[in-house]
Amino acid sequence: MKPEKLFACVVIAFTMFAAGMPAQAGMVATSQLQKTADLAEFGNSANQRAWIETQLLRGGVAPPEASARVAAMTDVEIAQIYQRIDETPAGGSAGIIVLALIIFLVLEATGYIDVIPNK
Amino acid sequence: MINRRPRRPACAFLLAIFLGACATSPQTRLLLDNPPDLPPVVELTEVPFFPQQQYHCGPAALAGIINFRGVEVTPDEIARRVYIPELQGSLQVEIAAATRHYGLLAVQLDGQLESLLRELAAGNPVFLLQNLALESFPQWHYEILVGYDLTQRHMILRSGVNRRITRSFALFEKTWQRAGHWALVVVNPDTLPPTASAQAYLAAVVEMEQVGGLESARQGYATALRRWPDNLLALGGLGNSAYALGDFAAAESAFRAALAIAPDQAGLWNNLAYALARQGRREASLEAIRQALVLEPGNAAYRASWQELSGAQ
Repeated sequence: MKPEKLFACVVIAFTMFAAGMPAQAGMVATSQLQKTADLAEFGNSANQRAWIETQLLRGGVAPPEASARVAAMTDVEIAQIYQRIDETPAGGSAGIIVLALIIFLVLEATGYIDVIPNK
Repeated sequence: MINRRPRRPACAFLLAIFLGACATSPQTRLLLDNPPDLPPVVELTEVPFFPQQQYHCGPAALAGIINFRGVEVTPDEIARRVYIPELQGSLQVEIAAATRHYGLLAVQLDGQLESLLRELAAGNPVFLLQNLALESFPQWHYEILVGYDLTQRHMILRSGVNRRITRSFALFEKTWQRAGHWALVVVNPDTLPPTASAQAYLAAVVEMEQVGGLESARQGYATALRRWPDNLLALGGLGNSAYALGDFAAAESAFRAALAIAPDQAGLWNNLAYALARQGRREASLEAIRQALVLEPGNAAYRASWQELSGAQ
């Protein structure tokens, strides 16, 4: 086989590997090197990525940005927020101070009221 | 729609002070009882400051720390990569992803107060998540830690619309603890944060490799090997990133160095076989893939590799 063809094979092997196909020839990814190279366990996050992209779109992110942002996340990161975006901290303090709310919270903290769930 | 309680204004800072009197700050006490071998005062005044617009503390703080590393970027550009309007905030994983986009590594620290001081003393500002309010009433907030003062017992921060605020160690520890002690150091891939574990540093490099930042990843693996010369993950990653960049001779020598330490790692033999094949050394390549199959005879992936490599004339 010519070198170009070998190159094509390797590229295809890479692509298949990335898509999580079982038992394909090719390089073992760095994250898998210290495990048994069971290629089948890799990948399978396409549905998770689609779900997260949907959440970003629903959250007001513009379509081309949403797909680029999902592509910028690793599989581990995808798994971290999959179906948990709601519970994941989203830093964004506005730093506004509202006196009424302070009083409210002090009352809460001192046991006069109990409106905050999950304490 | 994303289901989330409507965000309430951040009054909670004062409340945290109020409650601060009742709670303890174990790390602060330990730190003050056993002062570390560090300068008493450090302040990285040259860290740029971008005042946040409403809810944009993530993009503003990240812009400060990325510009500090020599990459020019505005908070608005970063907001397009991390901000979610509906949540009125930014997720931690997207903060790390955006950092990688600019060729920088986001290395997670170990959650120790003293590590924050050590990073600052080494010239590394720290990107933090804080919960300024309560666990049951979170007020998430990103900030940059730029200094500390052991004599005054406070931290120095870029926060929100304030270029410089101080917060006592004791209160800082509480608001940080409520955010899971989450802290990142953002570095160029030629720099090792002094407190980073091999695991945390290499996790950032592997992530960089996974999203295609091959040059940065290759440099990061080489940097890791300066401190941890026998680290298999770093050697394997160095080989894989060199291979992906077309430097098959460098890939070969990295895989061989790894195999000298761990000759029983079939995956390394498999990858060495490909690095040899790409250099036209067919016999050596087949010998390497044979080694992988000797170690794991039933492994379908290595059998497929053998078929591909032996069929390639």
